[in-house]
Amino acid sequence: MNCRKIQDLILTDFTDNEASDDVRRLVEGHLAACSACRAFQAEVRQNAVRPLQEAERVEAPARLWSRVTSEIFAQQLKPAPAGVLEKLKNLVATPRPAFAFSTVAALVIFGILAARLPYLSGRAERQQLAEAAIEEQIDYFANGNGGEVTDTFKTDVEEFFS
Amino acid sequence: MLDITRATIQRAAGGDIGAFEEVYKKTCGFVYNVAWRVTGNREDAEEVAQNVFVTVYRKLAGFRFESSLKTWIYRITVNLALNHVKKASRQRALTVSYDDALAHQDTRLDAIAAPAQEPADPGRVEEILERLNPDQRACLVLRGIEKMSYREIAEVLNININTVRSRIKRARGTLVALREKGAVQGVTS
Repeated sequence: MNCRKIQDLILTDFTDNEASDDVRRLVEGHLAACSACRAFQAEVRQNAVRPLQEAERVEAPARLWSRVTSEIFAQQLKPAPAGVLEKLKNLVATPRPAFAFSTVAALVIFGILAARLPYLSGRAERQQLAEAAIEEQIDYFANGNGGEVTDTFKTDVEEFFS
Repeated sequence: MLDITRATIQRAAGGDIGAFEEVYKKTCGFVYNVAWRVTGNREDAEEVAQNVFVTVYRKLAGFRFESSLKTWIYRITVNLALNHVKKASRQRALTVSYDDALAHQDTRLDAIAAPAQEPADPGRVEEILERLNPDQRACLVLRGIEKMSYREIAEVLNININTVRSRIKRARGTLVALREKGAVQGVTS
């Protein structure tokens, strides 16, 4: 294991007693032979570990309890009932981003579909009419309307053959 | 262990202020100290601690005994303290000028560049923690001052254990690097 990996362990698991026995022995073996890593370990202990280990602990100020109870009584707080209703209320009151986004997206899609529905149904109707008209035209040209002429233009030729 | 019975917690959850005071007495020490170390000053710590206990009182009925009460209260404390720090930091960023920030930076660097053999003192802890970002600070406080294991810290902060490891590594690495930088400046100035 190189010095960099050893120093990573010195910054974390080795110093905090989180390393396994095998890792601990490995680091200790390296430290015995490497003066640079021993110096680094001393730096870490002195500047990043000891100050916190020896940090002063203080009592909470006596007035804190008064402040807490004053706030509870001022807000007339009661412990909130837990359960499904509470969760539902929170969900509605403060929608999470993913929930809010999916709700908006669903509403937008619904709106677009609702707006296009009359157009879509009208289009189907128009399509049927167009198809019927084309069929009529095809029949007319294919059959000459059954070989029967119903309209005349009152020409001399028509008069002669009539 | 906090030595608070389940019956006491349930009575407090039902609105019994006497039972809640018992919970308060057993937990106010660590709540106040964590709030102090994360926020960096006692006034803010008091405000955060007050909010923690009001929140605990309000939410106690929802406590499901899936984690320990101590872990649950630690989680509320760290979350509220971090929110407080981040909110204050955003407000400060809007008001502090660049020159002020630079002058402040120099002062802090001098304070950290104390002689290597100087014993740790309470003031220096504040200076050290101030140099870290709030998330790293919270991890280091829970590990260094509250003596929690990585697993406990992960549970309190609701993050992966490797994230805990990474934040502690970066925090300590930053402190060592700042110290080296400060010592160099001390020699040249």
